[in-house]
Amino acid sequence: MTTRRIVLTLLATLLGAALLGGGAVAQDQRVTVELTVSHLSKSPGSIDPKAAGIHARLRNEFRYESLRVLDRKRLDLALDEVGSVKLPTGRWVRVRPMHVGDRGVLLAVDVEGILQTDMRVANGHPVDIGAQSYQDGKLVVTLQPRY
Amino acid sequence: MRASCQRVEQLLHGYRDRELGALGRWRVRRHLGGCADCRGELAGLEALGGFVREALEEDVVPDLWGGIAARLPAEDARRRVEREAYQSGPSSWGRLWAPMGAAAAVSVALAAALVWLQPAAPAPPGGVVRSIYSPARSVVVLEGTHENTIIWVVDDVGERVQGGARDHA
Repeated sequence: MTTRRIVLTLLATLLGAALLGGGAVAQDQRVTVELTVSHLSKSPGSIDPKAAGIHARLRNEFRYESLRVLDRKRLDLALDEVGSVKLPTGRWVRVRPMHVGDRGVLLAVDVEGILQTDMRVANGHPVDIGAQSYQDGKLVVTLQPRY
Repeated sequence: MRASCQRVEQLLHGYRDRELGALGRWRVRRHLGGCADCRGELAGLEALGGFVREALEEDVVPDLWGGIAARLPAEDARRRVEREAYQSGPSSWGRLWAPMGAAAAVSVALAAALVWLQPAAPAPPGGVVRSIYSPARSVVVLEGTHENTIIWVVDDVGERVQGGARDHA
């Protein structure tokens, strides 16, 4: 009986240590999310050089005459940590990395009052969100996670 | 209407609802790339789906994010208390059973976390968007184009496919 108890305790300790060790690794995981807020507009104008990548991805999908970057932030987040950026409309964009796995980081994204989405995003993969009408165009929130 | 359009039109509902396999999605996506009519058809389906969702889900689906965000501080505090209790040193009886208890607690927490991390809706193989909710608005998701993902909230009727490209507003 005593031997059985010792063996069980040993096994439980090893299991607990392994799980806690894995948890420590997960807690240390950080995700950098580059968040860009752009405005695309019907009004004639230029394409902001800082938005060249966004333009390359959107120009064949949407009609617009000008595109400019309004804000760009690099959010360095631990898992379960929430990063926020305020849009010019006053609404908040919140990003929360929840898990990092082989297929990418699981991101919860909330555009206040407009959109909630969960995404599994590979390292460096850009996600462009046409979030909200603004002035004569639309605000585009681009997320690019790196981990 | 071309024969290929007729074939794709039969698949559009499944494509919109993410019910097609990888090959089916690839076929539809390839066709959509060169066919403005079918892109328009898909946009119409998306808009219709948005109207149906709006009718069905209004005042029913809770603000999940708000609930999760509100629970985070309490959850962090609970984890901190559990961690401190574990690190403060158990009694002699506790020394015997604490590892098993900790392992069981961690296992339960891990299982709960795994369940919690499951997407709300099944995602297609390789897809980026796992679940999406936009109250009172239609959303178009374009995946796999230019190695990026586009999520587009359609604000009004004017924002529709026109001649192969969408007006942005």
